[in-house]
Amino acid sequence: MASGVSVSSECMEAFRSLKLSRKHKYIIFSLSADLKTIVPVKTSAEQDYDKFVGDLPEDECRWAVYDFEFEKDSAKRNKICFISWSPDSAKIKQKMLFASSRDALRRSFDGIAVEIQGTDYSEIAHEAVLFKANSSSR
Amino acid sequence: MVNYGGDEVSALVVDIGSSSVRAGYAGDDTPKAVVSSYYGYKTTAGDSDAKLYLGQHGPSIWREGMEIGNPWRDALIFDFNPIPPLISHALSDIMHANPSEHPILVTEPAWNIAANRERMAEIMFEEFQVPAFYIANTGVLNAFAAGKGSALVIDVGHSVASITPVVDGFVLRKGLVYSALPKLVHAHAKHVLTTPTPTRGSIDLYPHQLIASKIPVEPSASPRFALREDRLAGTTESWRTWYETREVDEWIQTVAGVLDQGWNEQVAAARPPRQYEFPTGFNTSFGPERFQVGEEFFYHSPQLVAQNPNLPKNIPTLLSESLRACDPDLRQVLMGNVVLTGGGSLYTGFADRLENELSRNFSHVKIHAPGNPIERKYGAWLGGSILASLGTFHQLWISREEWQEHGKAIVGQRCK
Amino acid sequence: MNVRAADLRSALSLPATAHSQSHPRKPTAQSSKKPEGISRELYALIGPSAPSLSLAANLAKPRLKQKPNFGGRGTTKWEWRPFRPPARGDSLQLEYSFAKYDVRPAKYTYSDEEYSALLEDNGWSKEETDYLFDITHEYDLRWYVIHDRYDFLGGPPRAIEDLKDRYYSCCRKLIRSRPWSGDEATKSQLLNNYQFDKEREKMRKNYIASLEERTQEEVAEEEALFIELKRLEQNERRFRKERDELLRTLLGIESGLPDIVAEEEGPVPLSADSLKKKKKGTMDVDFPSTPTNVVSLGPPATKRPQSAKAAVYDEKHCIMRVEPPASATTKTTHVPVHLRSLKLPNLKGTIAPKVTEALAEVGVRYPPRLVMPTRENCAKTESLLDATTALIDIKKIVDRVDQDIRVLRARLGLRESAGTDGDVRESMQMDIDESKDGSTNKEGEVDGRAQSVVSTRSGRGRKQSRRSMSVSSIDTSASTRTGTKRQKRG
Repeated sequence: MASGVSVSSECMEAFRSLKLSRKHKYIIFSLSADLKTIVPVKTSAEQDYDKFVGDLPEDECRWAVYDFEFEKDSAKRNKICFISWSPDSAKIKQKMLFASSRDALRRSFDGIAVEIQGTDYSEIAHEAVLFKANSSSR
Repeated sequence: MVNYGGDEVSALVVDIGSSSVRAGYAGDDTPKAVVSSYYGYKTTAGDSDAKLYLGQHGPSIWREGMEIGNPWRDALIFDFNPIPPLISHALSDIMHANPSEHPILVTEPAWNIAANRERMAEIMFEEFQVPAFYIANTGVLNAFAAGKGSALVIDVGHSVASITPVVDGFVLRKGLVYSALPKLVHAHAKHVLTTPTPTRGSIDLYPHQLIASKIPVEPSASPRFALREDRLAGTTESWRTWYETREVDEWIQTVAGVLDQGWNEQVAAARPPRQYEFPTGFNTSFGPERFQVGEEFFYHSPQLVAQNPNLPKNIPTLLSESLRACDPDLRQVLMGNVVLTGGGSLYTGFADRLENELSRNFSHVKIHAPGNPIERKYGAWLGGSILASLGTFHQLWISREEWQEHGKAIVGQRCK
Repeated sequence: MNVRAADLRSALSLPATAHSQSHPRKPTAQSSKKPEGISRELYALIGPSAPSLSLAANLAKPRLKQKPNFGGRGTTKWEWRPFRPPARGDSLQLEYSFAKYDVRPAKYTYSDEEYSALLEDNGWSKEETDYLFDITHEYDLRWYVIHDRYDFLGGPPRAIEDLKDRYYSCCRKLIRSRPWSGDEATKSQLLNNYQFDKEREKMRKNYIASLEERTQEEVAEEEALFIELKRLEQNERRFRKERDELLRTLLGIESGLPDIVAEEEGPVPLSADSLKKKKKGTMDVDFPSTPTNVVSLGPPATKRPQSAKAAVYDEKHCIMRVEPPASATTKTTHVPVHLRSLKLPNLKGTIAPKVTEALAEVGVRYPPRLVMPTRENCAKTESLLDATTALIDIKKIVDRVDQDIRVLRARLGLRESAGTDGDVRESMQMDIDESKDGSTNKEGEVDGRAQSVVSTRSGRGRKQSRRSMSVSSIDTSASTRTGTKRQKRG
């Protein structure tokens, strides 16, 4: 069961430049105004994780891809995280729309190592993501 | 909006539960029609086309010799005969909509069987002549409506409590568990009411339809009422069961609760009692016993278990069964995304208790329980309403042509 | 294709390797070093020995969505799963654009010939394999869902790992057997994408499951133990630091007489000291229990970073280590893995150059590099070092005593102002000089003298410690005591 929403080519291009040319640190995606396509709404090279979190609106849903860098066993590692941001305070219509469209976007990206469903800021806090990133590279 | 014949037409969304049929236009926030799934009928001539008494003027109106029926049995639609009249009543009589002009999305429980969903498609296409049809899983709809692609959906309904693991929008059928737990809770409540206590006698559960007159009495005093003797003889057994069920439900919804920290006599006694008046005029305040009722969701005493080998499984048992059937890798994700839904979960303290039960065994538990009772009661309908209102969703509809071309097989293929 | 790899990796919970993420800054060489803190075994699993490594180098140019071309045979081709048929005419266009960006992993199919030639398996019928491939493609490799829906009539129950293993092993066989038009690296990368280690996955799952099945008490106990462990580790670090400081202080002091304790064979009765340590759970693990365990190779090492390197070295050269007999000491409980050679006494301070000098005179290099650091050789090397150290110390004492005598004599001479005892003084000095020269020149004598010194020391019984170097034994026991006290206070 899916919404049938499509993924725009801009999404793919943005993801490619994050993954391959590492131009972006993160990309934030949303739905187009007509609710028919998923489009990137922001790309950023900002290194500060908190800035990224700040870019996720308090009561609206988004998707994000974040090139997460962390240290494990004193080696630097990178993992691309796919974050579904669906705050509890978002309208139910948005939640439904985003949840049922998520798979289309998620499956267009290869190389996602960590997937996170975030409903409040604690779930997408740096430590929470770090925990997931760490545990997924056991 | 769906483009049909040049005009934009809203899809219809129908969610058939064991207590009520919810129907409305896709895109709306609440169902336009909420019709009781119980229907009245008379077995006079024995002909199958006998008139059904539906909705507001259905079971709740006393009729001599009227029996009460319900299409559901053992968590599935068992009798499809009353389904078209029920749907027609909701769509045509209440909403004044013409089903043949609207695509229709119907919900189904996660454990629905292929024969049932195909039958439903058949009813829609053949009897209602709908242009397009889709059948959506309530578990997935509830997960999506909570904004989650993966979730553990705990749905406590009128007669079934279920736990549905959903991963990437798919139900994991092996982890799907359900039981008639709400019925047990209901039976317990009835037992509480009809068993005399030191302070009161057994409580009569007569409905207002059978009461001719009553005189106000002091709290806990014996009720003073007169029965409609003229009606007693014509009252069927099934109608009596139905109204007693309703009276008990009413009481449960007003009074019953769950202790959030588990059973504790002192805590239960310390909670403020609640006043309740029955149709007979009997009124009293209910103390600890109102929490005993909700306790049945989470804990069954060893004696009860010993006496009833087929006791419906309680929530913790269902949970551990469900999780055991899920891959160990998934458990953490599921526990972090528990969705509580269903009208039966609206007991005071239910969500807190659930959280406590879960936190005892898992770290990082997060429960999503909409505070808005509409969302909790009509979660699946709302999810379907939003989904069916999407322009992009029309790719998924099973069109009339497809139905005619492929027949029943298309339902299973399209609605995975 | 990469979807596959990523899925696999995430399913395996492996770190994304360099090639899937194409991170240019992760050079191959870097990853061949074992990062500190990973156990060797684990590193062997995920580290450089993983087949992915050879590929990483070939991926300097990142590739996206490369589709392998299987060339000529023609019986089987890549095929996209037919996209959802349009429900309505007007949605056709939309779906087209959707399909365009809908990245789906490539699907493998096989011919009957291929099946009988390559894919026969006692545990799997062709029918079930067909079914597996169908359902896998139907649910787009969402393995949890596939496993959930998997229902092959009459087939045995299958775990999710069984399904993955069968599917991926079939794919690997197909890739391997089919003509390959691309380069080898691409092929092995592709193969690597289809790698699946069933046993390991099962083990990991079982481990997770067992974690979850712990009772409340077990969890609590485990937590308590973990905290205790952390505490002990902390204490240990502190002990070591304190001991090191003490070592430095002691060696810096001229009067600090190194005192050598002879090796005693057989079990030693538990001293009150060691008993106390045991009770306290203090782990004195820095030095191995017996000197025979000490082997020399390269310069005596300091602490962890080097021993981690050594462990890699060890691994590379297939060196097996023998645990010292448990009965040899009261402290064997927690001896970490180490190289004998690293446990050679580390000469510190002013004595090191002198030892070097003394050894150079007899043609031995210091620090000693043993070609074959066997237990015996190490023991010998160590005793040589001990002897040399002892000798130098004796020389120091002799020199000082000599000086004292000279001074005292001078005073005496001054006081008595007699010139008659001049030759006596002469002769004494001669004697001492001779003995000094002899000891450094003739190897045979070195041992003898050292032995005698050793026996004197042990005769005095100043220390219970069984270490070869008295300095370290003093320090250890001293720091341990401090530690014990602190523990009590804490």
